[in-house]
Amino acid sequence: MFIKFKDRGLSPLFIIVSIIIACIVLPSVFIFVRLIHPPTQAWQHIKEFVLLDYIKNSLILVLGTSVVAGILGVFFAWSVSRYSWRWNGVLEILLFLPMAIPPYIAGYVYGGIFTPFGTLDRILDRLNITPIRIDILSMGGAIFVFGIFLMPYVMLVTKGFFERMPKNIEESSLLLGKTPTQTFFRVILPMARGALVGGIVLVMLEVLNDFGLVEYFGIKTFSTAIYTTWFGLSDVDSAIRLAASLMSLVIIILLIEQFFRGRGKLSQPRAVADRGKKRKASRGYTLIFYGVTSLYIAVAVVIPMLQLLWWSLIAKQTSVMRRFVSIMANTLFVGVLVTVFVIISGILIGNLHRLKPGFLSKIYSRIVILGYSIPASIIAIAVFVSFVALDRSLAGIYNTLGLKSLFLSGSVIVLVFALTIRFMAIGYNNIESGFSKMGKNYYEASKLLGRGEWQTFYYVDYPMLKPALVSAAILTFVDVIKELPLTLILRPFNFDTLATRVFTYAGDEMIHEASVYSLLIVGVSMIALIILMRIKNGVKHD
Amino acid sequence: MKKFVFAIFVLVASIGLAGCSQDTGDIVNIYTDRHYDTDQVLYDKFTEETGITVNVLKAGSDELLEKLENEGKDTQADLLITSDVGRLYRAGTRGLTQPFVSAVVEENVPKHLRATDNMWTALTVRARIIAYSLERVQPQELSTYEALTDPEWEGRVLVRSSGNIYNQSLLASFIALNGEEASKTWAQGIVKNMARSPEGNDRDQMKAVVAGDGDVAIVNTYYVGKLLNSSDKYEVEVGEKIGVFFPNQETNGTHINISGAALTQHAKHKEAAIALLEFLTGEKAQSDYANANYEYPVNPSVEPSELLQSFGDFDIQEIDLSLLGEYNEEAVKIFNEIGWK
Repeated sequence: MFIKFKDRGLSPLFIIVSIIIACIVLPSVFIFVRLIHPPTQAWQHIKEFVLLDYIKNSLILVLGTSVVAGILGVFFAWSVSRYSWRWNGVLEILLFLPMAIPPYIAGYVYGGIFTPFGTLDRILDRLNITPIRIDILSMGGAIFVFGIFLMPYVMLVTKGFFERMPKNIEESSLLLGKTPTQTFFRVILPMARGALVGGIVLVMLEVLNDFGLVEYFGIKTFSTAIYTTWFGLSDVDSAIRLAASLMSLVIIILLIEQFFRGRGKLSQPRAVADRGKKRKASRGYTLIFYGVTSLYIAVAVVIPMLQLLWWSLIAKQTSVMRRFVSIMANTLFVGVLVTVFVIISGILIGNLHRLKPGFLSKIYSRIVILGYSIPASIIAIAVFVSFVALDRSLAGIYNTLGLKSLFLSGSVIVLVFALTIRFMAIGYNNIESGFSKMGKNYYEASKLLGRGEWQTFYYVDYPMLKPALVSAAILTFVDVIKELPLTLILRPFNFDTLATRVFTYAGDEMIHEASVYSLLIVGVSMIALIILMRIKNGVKHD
Repeated sequence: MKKFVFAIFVLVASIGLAGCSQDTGDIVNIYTDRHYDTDQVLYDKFTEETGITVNVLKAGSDELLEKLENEGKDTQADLLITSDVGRLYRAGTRGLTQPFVSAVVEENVPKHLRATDNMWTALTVRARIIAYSLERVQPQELSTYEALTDPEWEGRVLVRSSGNIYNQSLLASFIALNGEEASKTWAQGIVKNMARSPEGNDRDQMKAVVAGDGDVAIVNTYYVGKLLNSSDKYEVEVGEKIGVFFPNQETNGTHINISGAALTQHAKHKEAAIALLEFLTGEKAQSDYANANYEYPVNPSVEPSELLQSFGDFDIQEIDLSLLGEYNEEAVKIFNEIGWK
């Protein structure tokens, strides 16, 4: 039966993938339909008074953050993958940990340290030093926070590239008389640009989508603009217009990424075997590395953790931990479920892309990223509207089954769905690169030897894909745990997660209480990171 | 492989089940943007007294309105509670709420804290006041919101960004009282006198006053209470160095905003919802609101907390509170035009 389908190009895989893609496209359709509405008066007002500022601020923020995260990320990725250090494994985990701290929480932490009567003031006060005033709630401060805490996204991607790069390229360059520095900047870095841009794109998307931090820091960006337009001016159409501008910006960024990646692929080495052993670094480099790394870990891990810990300790414990068990259960439930869905969909789409590299499957593999380019608040409404429509069309069935009228949209299903399409891009990027490295040879060999699809996947593809799947799972799970706007609006009654608790406390300026839950988010993410890193490293050494 | 397929099946089945919550017994479903733990305590007390279950969905008020609108007649929400009257008004104009009549609520809440068309009732009141440095400012120097635009306050005024609803409502009240031009001039004057470009929240403004970055800040009384009762002793110190001044006492009164509640248009548990409103505006709940959350009670037979009493009595702005909602959009536009970040 499958063969018949295949003759017509309609394999079950293709059909399932098409359904997944249709779901992902859903919110975008919503946006484009709304774009047909003529511009409102408010849109005129926005264009005249604020749009230019929004664009300028967003660009400065994105570029500044990319530079900080890019330089740091490449430095750490290169150092860790090329040289051997004492406590290598621990160092690597420490360098990834900042990813577990959501930028909005980091923003509150650094705000709390540097604002008047903040932690810094208190320490200086104890030491009888006149306080210094650093205006952290500014553009510079925002770039600092984003850059520091989003660095691991760049590191994760570039490190993978450096590790697969054969040693002979570097050796040839050195033999031909270039110094190690020249070799790095003239040979290695240009080769790594595809991976680097891939990591930076993730950082850019995170920054463009952030709302909490820019709101607190008082920086007007696209995402704050979408909020004030939608809610302040109660003009959904203009908000969607803004969202569409943001989407085009993101699509341009993605096209640039494709361009770099495409060219990078030509020179991307296939051989992994002759990676060579990790070297010992020179004295000077060792000094720089330990200096920069300890400074980074202090700023991005130790200081924020201490601050959160201290705040948690002075939080009024009266009702902070109310319903804690259900909050934890909800968070893990949503996190695991969405991660599983993202991984399964990613495998299906990636596999189709690999086995049938046609025009349609290429488009499919690009569309996946759409969910990540749309502001979360817009996805929320788009998904919600679609589910309400679905519910209404199923009203007859609900009646016979005795279900509530908005059964799906009032349940956690709509939340899981929205989160899955939102974070598909993050997971898929990793899975796709895993597939592209594998090629088709092993698959075909297995099929020739008489194994079926499932068996081939399980015994041949899956073990090779495992490292990529683990990376995808890390990124997706941590992002879901941190996610805010979608969860806030799409969750059912009495459904709290760690992130929504942080939001509700922080929104009410109860930072001490909020930090209890921030710490829990960081803790859960850290445990997930450590577990997954171990799985991944285990795979590597096999 | 079978295990894998089975695992997926279990996952899917479990979300299906998670979606089924039974709809039996007396319940009332609330959409609220108030997220205080004290509110939950009140709901629990209500359940204890009446046996009516209270389900809560907390999110931003605007998102809740959007959700309510899309759900239409199928909504499960019975009550909409927001910490800003503008949103209640907006819900009314979008046809998302319905008038309700309850003799008990009418008795509990004075007329000027209820909608003229019975669309909503206030639950608590906060005043937007001038917090000043006890060291550098004499209360005699202060008079009105308008006077803060005088040249003598140049570089001394602190206030948060215009994206904040409290500032939008404040400006909306000026539009209602003084008209658009005068309000625009006022906003421009404040921007000119700002000590720094707006950042941080209300607590941050007061900290900056005590640190000497500016001398006065426009903040809510509620946050002064939060500082003075903070679990962090430094914040308490900041609170103690702050004076509370109720502006416009000689003219049109201090600007207030309310937390309030409205019955949704398609409420399915109308009676239970009204019972909850009667409970929340009643003496017991009101004194909890007042004592635990530093908000002013709406029920005149309940005394404000000692702390609030220490701030002194004040005359409130005498306008129809619905106007704050009506002029909200105008206020946002003015902020954008004159560049109040």
